[in-house]
Amino acid sequence: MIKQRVLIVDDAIFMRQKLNDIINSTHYEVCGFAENGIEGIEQYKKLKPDIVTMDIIMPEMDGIDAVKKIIAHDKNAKILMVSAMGQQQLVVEAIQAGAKDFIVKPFEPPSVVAAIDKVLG
Amino acid sequence: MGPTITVGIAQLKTGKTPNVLTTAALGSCVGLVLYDPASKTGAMAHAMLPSASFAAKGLRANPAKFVDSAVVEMLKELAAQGVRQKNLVAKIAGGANMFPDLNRGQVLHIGRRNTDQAVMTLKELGIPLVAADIGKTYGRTITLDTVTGLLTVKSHWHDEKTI
Repeated sequence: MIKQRVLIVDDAIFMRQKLNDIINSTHYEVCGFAENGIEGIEQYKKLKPDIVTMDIIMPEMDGIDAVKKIIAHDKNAKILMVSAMGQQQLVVEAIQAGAKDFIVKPFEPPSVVAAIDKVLG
Repeated sequence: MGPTITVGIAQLKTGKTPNVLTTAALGSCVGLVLYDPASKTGAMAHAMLPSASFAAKGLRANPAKFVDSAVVEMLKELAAQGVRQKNLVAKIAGGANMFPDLNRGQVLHIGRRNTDQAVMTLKELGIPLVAADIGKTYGRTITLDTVTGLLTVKSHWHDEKTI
């Protein structure tokens, strides 16, 4: 069975590692990483993942601008925002920009998998 | 479009295709919409405050008045009509800052608190938020066409939009 591929975009190495461990222990596989929105766009074009997990607050380019640019490149892109408590207004901006759903840090592994399942379902 | 069902302030109602659900005068209040594309059934609430925990102790609260309890009540009413929760998507509108000169801080910005609560309550219940038109400083009237699931947002000062 071919696993669906996930691109992780997050500036925090701890969070990239945590998401990597969660996702690779499931029926999905991580195909790449990016540390900011600019790298995220480049990696999206290069790797063509099935879904992206996108942090919101990042240096260079934030997650919302990255969503806008990825959706402009591929209107069918599936992007799951990774937000923190208190970022509801930013989550709404991301959804208006084309993100499909969001998870809230700190998260439990099942909630990450359930959110990816739902977006890809 | 079919017959129009009007949702008053601190009310919630459901409607099935071809009904139209509408609520007017959303200022800092938030209009909550749940919609099942499969059965073409929807629910709309006009909630005033974020949480039922705001209700005075000892009083029986009207669930439609509060964002968190309104969403739960909408789910109950839709379930009673045979709608499956997993089919539902959500849209929200409103939550304006109607008195920006007074509300420069967060404390009195009830509109933002309402929409923040809506986002979190929907997340906790696993209902995807697919569209929103929130914030700014003007009032809104919203209309849900249960045939299409499209939500029209009107205001006196801005062009009509469909989300």
